[in-house]
Amino acid sequence: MFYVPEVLRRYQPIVDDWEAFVDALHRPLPVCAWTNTLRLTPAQLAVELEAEGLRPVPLRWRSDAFRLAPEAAPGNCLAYVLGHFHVQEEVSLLPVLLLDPQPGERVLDLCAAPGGKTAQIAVRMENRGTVVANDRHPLRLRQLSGTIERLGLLNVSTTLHDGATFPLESGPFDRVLVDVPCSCEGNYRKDPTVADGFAGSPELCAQQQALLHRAVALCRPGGRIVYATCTFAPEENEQVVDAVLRDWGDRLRVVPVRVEGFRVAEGITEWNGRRYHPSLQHALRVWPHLNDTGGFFVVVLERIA
Amino acid sequence: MSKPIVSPALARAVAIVDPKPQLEYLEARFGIPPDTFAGYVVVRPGRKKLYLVTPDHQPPSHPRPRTIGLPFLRIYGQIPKLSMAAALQFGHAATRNIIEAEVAQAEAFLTRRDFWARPEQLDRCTGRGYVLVRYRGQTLGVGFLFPEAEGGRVESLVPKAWARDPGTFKLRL
Repeated sequence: MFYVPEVLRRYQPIVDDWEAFVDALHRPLPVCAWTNTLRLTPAQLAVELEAEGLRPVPLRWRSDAFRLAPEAAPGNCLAYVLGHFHVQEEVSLLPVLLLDPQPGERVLDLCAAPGGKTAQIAVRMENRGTVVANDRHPLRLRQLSGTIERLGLLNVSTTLHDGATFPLESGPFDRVLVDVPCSCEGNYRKDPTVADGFAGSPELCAQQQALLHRAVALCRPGGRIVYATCTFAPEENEQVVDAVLRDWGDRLRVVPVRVEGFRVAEGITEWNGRRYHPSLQHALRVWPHLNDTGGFFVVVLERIA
Repeated sequence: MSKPIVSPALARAVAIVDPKPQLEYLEARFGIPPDTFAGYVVVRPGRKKLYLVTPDHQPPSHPRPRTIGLPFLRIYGQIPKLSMAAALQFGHAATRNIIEAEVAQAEAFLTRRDFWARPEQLDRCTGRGYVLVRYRGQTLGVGFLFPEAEGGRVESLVPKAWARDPGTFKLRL
């Protein structure tokens, strides 16, 4: 049995297969590349990646994305320079799929840098309509602009603002993605130092709650909000959503969702003696061993009024 | 070129630019037909750069967007410079001032080093100035051609952030 840092050991009661979880944490993470379908088809990209010796394997749940070996360095090939694909952790494909943005809509990505999810949104919207990609860090926003430029995205505006106070007059938006800053425990396979951490710190949770609250306020009634983190910590996941659900009462609800071909665990409704809103069982928890990915949490909300 | 209908939110958020002089320049230098950009609006969110965006785009006015759409041309210098992003996106429509690079030249270009073009590679070039560098038919970006008696030097204008690492970058295709 491998060593498991103390901060992760507290999740033993909510992980279905502890041994598999620990085992997965110590395996190198596969690389994932998704097709810029504005420029070419997944089949054409597969040929290019194959020619580079990268041996792409289509994901079971997403035919436009490919799994590559953990040691692959696809950023150094011509197809990457030409904006034919983007490199992003497989589990990061989940929130945009669930956000389900449509061409012509007005969509906000509240904490957008470094921009991989913004790019997925823009591509799914077929380079039409409006994506507003916001971040509070100027340097990270520049990185986002680089992604927009390489992939040829014509429907994205970038703004530099604190997401939690993003001006209400900029709304309403049809859909809002709020992929909050978090303790990143789910990135343990890439960077074990994340477990040195600050998971569930009160300041961080307050910031996450403020961001989600503002995301709901910016969304039109009938619109969709997707809240995502890459941490296991319930304090940053169900507990944040629970607090915002209480604030909004019957004007906000959790939408049950499922992803064909991708294994997930239900959200939890109780942690350390605290009870959460029962509908939080419809949140999705991704443990690394379920699909050989990083860890993730995502929940789909609908603003009713 | 017919004018697209611009969303009121876009007109409120940013200065809309009459693209005629820029499109004439791109046609004169690269042979890119102005119609290539039909269906897009040219905007100027800052001082130095023009951007291309879809006409139905509705950015907020507040906060003021840093960028709107795709960088199109840098207009700060004497001659407008096509952005790397626009070269990748629209370079296929060019018919002149194009250099078809060989593998070593393309590797040099993408790692932000100058390369030497042989006289026959300059057949479609009209003289000193911006050129599009292609490799196997795909536009890689913008360079600057300094013609000499026999051939010419091509300076790579690949932005630093885009440049590949000369130590490890090799083209396989």
